[in-house]
Amino acid sequence: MSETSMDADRHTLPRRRFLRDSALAIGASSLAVTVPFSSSASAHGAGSLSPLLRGLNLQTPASLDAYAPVALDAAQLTTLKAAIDRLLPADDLGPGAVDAGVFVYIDQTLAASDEAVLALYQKGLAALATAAGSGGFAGLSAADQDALLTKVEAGSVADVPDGFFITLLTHTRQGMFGDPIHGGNRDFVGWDLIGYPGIKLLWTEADQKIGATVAPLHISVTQFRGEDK
Amino acid sequence: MSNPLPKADVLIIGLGAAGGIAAYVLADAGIKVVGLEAGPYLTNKDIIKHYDEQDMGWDGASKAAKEIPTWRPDAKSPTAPPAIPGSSMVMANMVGGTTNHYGTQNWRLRADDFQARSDTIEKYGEKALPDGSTLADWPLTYDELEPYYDQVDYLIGVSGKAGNIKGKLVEGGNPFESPRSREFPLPPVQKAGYTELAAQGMTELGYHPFPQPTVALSQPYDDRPACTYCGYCSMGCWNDSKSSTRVSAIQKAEATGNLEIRPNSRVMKILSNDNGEVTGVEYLDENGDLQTQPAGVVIVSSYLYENTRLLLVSSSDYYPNGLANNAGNVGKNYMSHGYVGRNALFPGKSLNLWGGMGGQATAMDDLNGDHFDHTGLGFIRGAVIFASTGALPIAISQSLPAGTPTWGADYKRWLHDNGNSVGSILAQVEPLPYEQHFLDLDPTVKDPLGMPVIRVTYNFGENENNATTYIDGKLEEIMKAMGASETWPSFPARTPVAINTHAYGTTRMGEDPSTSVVNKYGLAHEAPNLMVLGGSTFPSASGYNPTHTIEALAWHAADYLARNLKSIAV
Repeated sequence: MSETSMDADRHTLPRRRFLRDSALAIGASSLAVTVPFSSSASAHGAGSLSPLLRGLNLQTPASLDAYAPVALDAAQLTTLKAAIDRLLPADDLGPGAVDAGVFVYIDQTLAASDEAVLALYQKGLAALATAAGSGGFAGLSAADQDALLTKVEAGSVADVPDGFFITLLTHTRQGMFGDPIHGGNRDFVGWDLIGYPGIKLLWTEADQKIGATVAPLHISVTQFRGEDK
Repeated sequence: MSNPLPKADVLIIGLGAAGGIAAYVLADAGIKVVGLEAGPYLTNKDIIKHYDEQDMGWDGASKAAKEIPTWRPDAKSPTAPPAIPGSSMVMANMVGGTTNHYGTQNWRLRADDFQARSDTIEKYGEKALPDGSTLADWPLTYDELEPYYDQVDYLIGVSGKAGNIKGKLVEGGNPFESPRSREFPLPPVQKAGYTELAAQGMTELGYHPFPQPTVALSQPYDDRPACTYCGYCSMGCWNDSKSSTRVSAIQKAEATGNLEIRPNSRVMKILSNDNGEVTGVEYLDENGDLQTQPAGVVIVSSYLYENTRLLLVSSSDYYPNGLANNAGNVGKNYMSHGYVGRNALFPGKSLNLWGGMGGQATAMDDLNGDHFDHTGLGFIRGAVIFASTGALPIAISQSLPAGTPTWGADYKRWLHDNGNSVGSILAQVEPLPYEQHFLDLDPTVKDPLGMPVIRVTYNFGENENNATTYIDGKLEEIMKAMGASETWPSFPARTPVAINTHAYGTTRMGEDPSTSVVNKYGLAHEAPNLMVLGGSTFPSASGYNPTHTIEALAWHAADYLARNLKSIAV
């Protein structure tokens, strides 16, 4: 018996109780995780989703191009997409924030946030568009967009509210590297970029060695929510 | 339900680390216990739905939802947002409390931690104690508590390597620890490449690293499976292989038939009579209806902030300034652990830290307590230091060395090249208690139920600032010895976490009723059938995580209560 399969047995004993209680199995060889919880709520009545998800329709749009925003308007969405495309651009390393659906994450997060956060975006995006001139921010060249964003980051662009840039950057990172259940990190492109394999319930001693290659699993928490997602 | 409800022998407010162990000991002794828990009763099926770096909600079970305190640095300043956002956000209201989702570190104090004041004076003189410090020895010794640490170890299942068994040093464990009566019930958890690297670096510098004790099961124990190192420990365990009190003690207490748990039940007031004895509580049940639950003994074990708040809001004719507070000691001597941490880049090395957790760590005690000469350093006591596994992608995307691009193509390339090559090390620095640091009721801010929230008045003193600066320099040296090319703060030195998951004092235990609130069994000096359990009773903080000592003290206290119930209960 190899060390790895011994490890797997060790972790799944006592197997009968394990399966009964969790309704979730780790296959010793494949590590495939099969879901699903038959019920979304426990006997003690756990209920609502996380604040980020509360009240949102998280239907992933079939096409990102056709995404209809729920918090921002169409012009604001255009500016937002152009901005996040510079914060994490598509390049030879892989897709960027737009392809990852980060704008979906941000728009849906804003729909569940305090009005102050939405106002921060509305003012910030409007000021960005104004500062870019008649063609708007999306109409600038990549180099000019970067130059303007650098000024925004430094706080030297008129009418951009304090905190706008750092909020935008933080949300962009969350959308890119957070779980796809929140609308970003589409096709796990953020996790692939940074080297995170996805939710991997069993890390063996071999997996935890320095230099070990751990294959991407592309498992989202969506798989554990069952009908509750 | 009818009002008042049938009287309970013992009522426990809060079924977390302290309340969970107390419930087990009392129920096992045949005593009828009612447990009121403000949060829900979740299972691993609920918990795994939150395996998401952005989701710390636990179905609304966060204590912060109803209890978040306000903060000010000193009594002359207005309240303000803390420099480090309140980590009380990650305390949980649920059956098992924060033992469901803590990092699994499971430390005993050492014998000297129980007498830090007298040890310091003996070695360095009275002047070594900073002005205003109220540092005190504990009213019990390590030897008195050791059998209870041991019983907790074997009830819940703890993984580690002894360094000292009955006074004999054992290879591979912590050479500084105080004598254990026997080896850990389970061997240390799985080694990771990174924890081995840390052990090498620390050894190279002359330190004495060892596997950190943890309640993650290294092997099956007590019909529960071994840890799978999934990396989502801080959201709770999907597999029952973390020894939360929920799976290791509370469920056993329920099985005796002597513990009745009422989840989603929030206590609003502890009731007392004209003799100063407690008689029960008023609480909002899961339907939001006010209930009166009489009890012979009331145990308050709802974490430090809520322990203090419940006492302060439960005033009466006998206790005009709050329950058990006629001497004015409730809320005093507040301490919050100091932290200092560094991240470091190990270029070209795939560290594979995504799995694991804070408890899967190499630790060292060489710079803790008085294990090094403090002469001329400007502080007393020290820190436990550990390098652990566990990393999640958003956090990695946000922690960058100085000078690294924070957005754009170069940022993206940096993350691509280095996202799996960033390691971390953390130190927990022992803070001292001071006269000027305390909790009281906020005069203006109320929670959603209309109850005043706790106001924290706390800052680091010069002792704490000097200690974190000193330790920070040592962390840099250790990371370099491990092969890091550069390091940067993951947690800034000289910055207090005023509202903390490691908080101490405020219902101090002691022998003198004029300077403490409870005795060594947690029984209030002023209200003899009121017991207070948890970190709020600690006279000093130590450098270690508090949970194991909270659990051992709860066992010690509940054992005493079980043997003396007739004389204590009213």
